[in-house]
Amino acid sequence: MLKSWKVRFGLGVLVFFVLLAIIGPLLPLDPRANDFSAISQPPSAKHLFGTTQFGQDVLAQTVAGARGSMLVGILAALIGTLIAVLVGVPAGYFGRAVDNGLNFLTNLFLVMPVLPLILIVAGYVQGTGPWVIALIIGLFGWSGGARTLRAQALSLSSRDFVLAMRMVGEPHRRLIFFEVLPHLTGWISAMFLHGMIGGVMAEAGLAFLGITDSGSISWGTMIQAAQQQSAVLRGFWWWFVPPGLCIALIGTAATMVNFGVDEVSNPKLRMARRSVVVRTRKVVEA
Amino acid sequence: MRSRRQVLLVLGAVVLAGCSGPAVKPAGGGGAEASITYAKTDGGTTFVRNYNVMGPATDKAPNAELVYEPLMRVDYANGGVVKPWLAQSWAFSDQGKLLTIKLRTDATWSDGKKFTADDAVYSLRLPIDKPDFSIAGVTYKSVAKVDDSTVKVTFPEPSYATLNQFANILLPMVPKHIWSTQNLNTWTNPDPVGTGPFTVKEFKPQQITLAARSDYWGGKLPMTTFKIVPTAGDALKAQLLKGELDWASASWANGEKEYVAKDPDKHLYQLYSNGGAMSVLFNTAKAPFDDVHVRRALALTVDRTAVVTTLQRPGTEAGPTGLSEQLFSDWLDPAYKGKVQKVDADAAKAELAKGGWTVDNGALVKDGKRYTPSILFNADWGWGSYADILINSWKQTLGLTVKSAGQPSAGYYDKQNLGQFDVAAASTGGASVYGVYRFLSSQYLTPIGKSATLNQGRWNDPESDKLIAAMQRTEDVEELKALGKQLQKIVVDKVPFSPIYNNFYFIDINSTRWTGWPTPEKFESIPFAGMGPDTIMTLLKLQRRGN
Amino acid sequence: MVRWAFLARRLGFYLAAAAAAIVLNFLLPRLMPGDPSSAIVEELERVSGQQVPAETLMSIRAIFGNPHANLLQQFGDYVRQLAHGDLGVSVVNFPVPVADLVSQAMPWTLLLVGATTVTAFAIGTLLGVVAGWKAGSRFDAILTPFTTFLSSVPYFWVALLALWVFGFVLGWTPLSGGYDADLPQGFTFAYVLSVLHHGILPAATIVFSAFGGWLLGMRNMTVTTVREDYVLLAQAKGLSPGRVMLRYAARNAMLPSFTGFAMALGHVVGGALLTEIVFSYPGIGYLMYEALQKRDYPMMQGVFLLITLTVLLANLIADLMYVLLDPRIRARG
Repeated sequence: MLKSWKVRFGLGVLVFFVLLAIIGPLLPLDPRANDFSAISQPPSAKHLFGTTQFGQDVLAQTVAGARGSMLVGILAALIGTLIAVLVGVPAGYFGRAVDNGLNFLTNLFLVMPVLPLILIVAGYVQGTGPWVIALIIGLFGWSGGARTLRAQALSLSSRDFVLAMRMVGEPHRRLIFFEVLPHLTGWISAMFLHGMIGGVMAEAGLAFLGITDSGSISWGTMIQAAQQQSAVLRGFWWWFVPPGLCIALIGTAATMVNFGVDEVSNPKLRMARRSVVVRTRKVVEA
Repeated sequence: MRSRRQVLLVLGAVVLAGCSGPAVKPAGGGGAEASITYAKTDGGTTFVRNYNVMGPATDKAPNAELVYEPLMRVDYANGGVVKPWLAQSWAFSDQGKLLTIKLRTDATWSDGKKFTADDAVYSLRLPIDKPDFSIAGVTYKSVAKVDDSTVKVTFPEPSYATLNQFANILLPMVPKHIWSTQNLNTWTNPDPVGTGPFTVKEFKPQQITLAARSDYWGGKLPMTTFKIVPTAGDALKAQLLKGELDWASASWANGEKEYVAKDPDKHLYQLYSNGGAMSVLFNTAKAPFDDVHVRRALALTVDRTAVVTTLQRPGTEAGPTGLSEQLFSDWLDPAYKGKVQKVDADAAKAELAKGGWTVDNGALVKDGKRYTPSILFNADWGWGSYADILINSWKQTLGLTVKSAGQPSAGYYDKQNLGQFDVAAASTGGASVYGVYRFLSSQYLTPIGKSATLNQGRWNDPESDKLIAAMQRTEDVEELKALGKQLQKIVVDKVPFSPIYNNFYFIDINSTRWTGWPTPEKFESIPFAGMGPDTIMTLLKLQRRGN
Repeated sequence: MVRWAFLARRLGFYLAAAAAAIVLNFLLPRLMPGDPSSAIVEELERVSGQQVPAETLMSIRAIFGNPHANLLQQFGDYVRQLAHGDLGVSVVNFPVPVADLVSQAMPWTLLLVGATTVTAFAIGTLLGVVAGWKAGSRFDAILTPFTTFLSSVPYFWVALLALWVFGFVLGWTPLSGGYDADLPQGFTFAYVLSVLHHGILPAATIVFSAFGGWLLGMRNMTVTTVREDYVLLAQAKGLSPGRVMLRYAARNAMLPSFTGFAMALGHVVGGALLTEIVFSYPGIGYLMYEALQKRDYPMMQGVFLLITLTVLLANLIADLMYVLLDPRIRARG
């Protein structure tokens, strides 16, 4: 899997941002300090990414934003993935009545307009903190994953080795945890990454709408602050480009890693990799 | 590959169609039609045809005050004195408990009928008869007709100071012969008939066109139509720069450079004091802010200059009284004129020491009790970055850690009203000295946890009460000035709140088509659409450029 | 018969989902703190700076319902109202009915979102088929990662930049609104043109952000399908590559995308709200955003219910199409 440049690029970027989020507070950068001698200044030696309207260092804010955004993204992904596993796997594994109930729930959440729903719920609880925002995003964002897991668990549970162990009398709990789940690791990790981008993007969207925890800095709140000060119109590109670019980078990285995961679980996709195609063509031409 | 090319072709065609669409038309139009376009910036993307102006709706059709007029107006050019509008004159009697209002006799409704005392009585009684229509917060008890052009209003207590409730655009005059026949709980009044200079000509969700009346009592307007369009933020700025709009009311940080400098002759960006200030409001019912020394220490270390620098409104730091000099120069105690508190760390520390306070590890400590206050602000105003400036300043000068506690509008007002805050960034102000300070009266006092509507800081001071009550009981200007100065001293010395920067009405004008606008240096009316009579006065004096 | 059984089952599901949506819609504002009457009272107190007397609260409750009444009875009233097409009265726009406000905004969103979702789906799917068909080609190797990047850029960020470049710097498109308000409304050429002119940039930004997802999904499905036996057989029979690509591979690879398409409608109707805010477009998303900001509960509920029902309807239609498209269901039916 690591052979693919996409996966290596993706993992590299993800690791970079996770590290940034972790060590961010240790760096000598204060995202809230005001430097009144440098207001809305473009990048310079003193402020590598320039400053905001409030004389705050954009680099420091971007680093702090990594922490805020990734925290919401990862929490939301954890919650979403957990629910997806809890709903999808039993539905596929047990079938029948369990499946009917859980599948209805999944389908219901699939067709409900999630963004308005998140917006309404988040609107009531706003001003409460990043945890709540993450919880809401995760709570409404699991249905797609549950559907995939259900399909996979369904096909696994009818495989010979599972059927055989069931007949031997292995308890369901053991079967699910030790036989079915390990086969789904690829799917689950892809789902987690997907959920994480979803969480980061959703947080940014909510922040743009003003639904956010004003006490924390995220890339979303950075863009919102820039927007409130007409940064785009006034040409302060150094203020709104970094947070947007960071979100795009993380999103790209996660999708790239997912490509790799897909290729592992689906050999046909691996055949379509450029390196393979080029090599094959060389062999044919030789 | 073919499919991709097709897609590109389609995209190209669509983009071309976009470019060849109707060219941007300048507002105002040409020829016989003389129109002025006003941009409404806080009403969303569309308008709703609702001219039920007395109803409890918070969003009504914009600029209804050009159709329905109040009895009086507040003269901001003159210290916030109440002046006549549909009322010709008035007089208090019975120690300020009875008000006799003489009405204009030349005003007519746009359907041709005369405006009479019956209409005024009906309009003034509406808030009393229908409590859910009591949006203006009237304080009178009863209204009666004296003759065709005179009404009398009775109050439960002396009310010289609350005369300006009749200047409230939420208490307009409406025609009895139309309103009394309608069910006001379902009626949206789509075609309003008022005494004002305009009628509704066309109502589209994205543009309202008002037509000027030829028989307006106040005179003939120079324009035939008044257009209102919804816009916001960056779009507004761009439209003003392009000259698509004539007029808007929105703040424009660095507007001098980004707007005025591009065409100083035609681009006007004006600031008119609204009499108030953005202030740090202390919750005086709660430790440690029940101690004047703590309040003084924090007030001494607010970096007002830094805040106005980042606001890009240099020179608008507020004085210590909370009364703006532009509006209240005659009323201000000379000792406080031109005075702005600079950051004074030593004095602040001395204050803390005097009160027996120490700062330990970011917390305020006294008698073994530790306090780490937080600052409440409205996140919808984008105030977080300004709160950061205050927090940084308190940290640097006093070593005190104040937490940032932003809330969206709804939560912000909830917390403030319930007293669930330590310090809050809040607007203070009003049309008169009494208007600015009346919230300090303990008659508005409620305990923490119970909603307060005015006295959110829970200020409870017998001396303030005495002065405010005295102001309510007199209309003698000299006496009012003397009382006002005593109140200023209380505010400065006891610091129930500490002003940061002055608040303004922000006006953006592109005078390409219309000239004759007031300026902050010389004005009779503030060109702030939404101020009712002031808007009408402004419109009456405009001239078409080149004519 | 399979076909009918499938449709009946789906119809049953949608009815159940609609019922669930109505219950959810009823419960949400009641589970959350605050009620419309107190919201109005607070707003009035804030505007007037006076304590609102108790009679006022009572008479406002008479209009908007008493939050302390029996929950079942409230639900009964709610369903009865809905049955009459009554969505209640907006709080901030009192006394304008919510239904009026919604019906004024709905066409704009449906037009914008409908057109762009179909366009994004068409562009993404077409490019995806080509990329998947020629998987590993230079076209694929460049387009796929590039698209990945595009679809990861936050939507509103793109929209803001687009508005700045095309609306402000170049001046090609209007800066706000959905039509030229100076023109008489109606199906005149000039008016329709002004609607297109105002809609082009919002539409383009939605397509720009949305097509990438379709492309990636479709590419992977095509890659998988291309190696299926029936495609290989079609090629072996000597059918033209274009015909095989579109009639055999693409058609089958599209099925999962198609279900996704129906679901995307749901996300986009709500998601259009960012578009509507950036471009000041007169749609339903903005209406909901405003309702939320001003705590206009009846309006919030009304808009959410309508969005949900629209999405359910779109899904039902998509299911009908699915039956027509999927040869497996057709063959057995």
